[in-house]
Amino acid sequence: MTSKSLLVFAFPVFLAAGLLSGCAGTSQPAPAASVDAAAPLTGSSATLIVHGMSCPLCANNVDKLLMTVPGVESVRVDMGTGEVKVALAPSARVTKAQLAKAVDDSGFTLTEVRVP
Amino acid sequence: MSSPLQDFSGTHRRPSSALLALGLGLLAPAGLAYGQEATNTPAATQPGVGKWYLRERVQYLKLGDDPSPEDRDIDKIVATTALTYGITRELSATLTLPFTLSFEDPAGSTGTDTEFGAGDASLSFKWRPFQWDLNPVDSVRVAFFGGVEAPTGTGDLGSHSWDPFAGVVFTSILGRHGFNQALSYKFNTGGDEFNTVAGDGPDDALRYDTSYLFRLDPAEYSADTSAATYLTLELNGLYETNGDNEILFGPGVLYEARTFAVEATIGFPIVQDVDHRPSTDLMVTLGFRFLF
Repeated sequence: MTSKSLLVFAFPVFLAAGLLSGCAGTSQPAPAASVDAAAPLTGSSATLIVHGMSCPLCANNVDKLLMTVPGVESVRVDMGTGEVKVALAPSARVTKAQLAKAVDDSGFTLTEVRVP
Repeated sequence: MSSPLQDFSGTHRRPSSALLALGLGLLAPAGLAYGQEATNTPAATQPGVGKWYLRERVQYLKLGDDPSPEDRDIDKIVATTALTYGITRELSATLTLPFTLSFEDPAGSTGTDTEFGAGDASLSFKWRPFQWDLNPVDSVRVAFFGGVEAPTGTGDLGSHSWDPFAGVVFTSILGRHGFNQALSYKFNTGGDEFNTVAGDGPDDALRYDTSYLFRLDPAEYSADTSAATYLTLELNGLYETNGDNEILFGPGVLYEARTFAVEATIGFPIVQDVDHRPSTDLMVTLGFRFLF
């Protein structure tokens, strides 16, 4: 087989495999409703649902960015469920908008914030 | 209480079919295609805003079939440092600097010529306009990258010219499977006739890379996951406008923890149609990555 024919063969195969894998997952974040993003959270913790954390090293971006938010004491990531549990300092006035920006800056997609 | 987030529009990116079509359409004409990033294939991934990502690769290269009058047997050890900074969610900058230790044995000679020095440094930018995070793990991304290779190389270790390059990369991750497909073109504005660096001669270079990653462990992510191990398979192609064409097949392993990763890949040619530079007989790569 010549190099040119091998090239012609190999790339469509890999491209098709890549595109099929990308199109196979079709679940989407749930539609969202309005929330007061600027209001400080009242509890001592929050759970963020984050999509796209596909590997340990990339998920660490979420930890690092959330830990830069004043009042965030610890972060625990469950890559399987996308749950990111954030512990908040008692006197902190952390807002959902701050947490959302940190997740956005980390390069992933925030779909939901749950507070107790 | 659950609090959905309609007002955080910046974090909720739903793919439209038009954008998807545009993204795929940009790739289709080419005829081809961190995280899950294989050793020698780019990926549409980058560090978070304000974060740094250090990547160190050490490559052993065995080159043969030198077309120059000296008919050299060449062995090289190339240590490449790449430092990437996340400027925005979609944009990152990377500074790359290689250092090379080269051993050349001219035919008929009993001595070995040894050369050590810096290669050509490059500054590049990656822009990721398309990202669809489908669920907690799965993601599809398209990024464009471009930059310039500066003539910092000493002696025979650089092209002594400013060489701009640009490319596109498609990344998809579905469960335990990851695909990266990249296409890039380098406009060589200079270069030595008998250069030994693939893609660094006087002719332009088209790189076509594809990689597949399979997550060996863990099979499923959980709250206890602190690391993952991948099997990687790569096809790294280089076509030069002088007609030279070479594709290396590279199986490897990648171990990724939360703050660092280590990798090892061995590459050998499966297509070799090279007449204007030494061909690559073997490439062994060891790598280390660190996010800080």
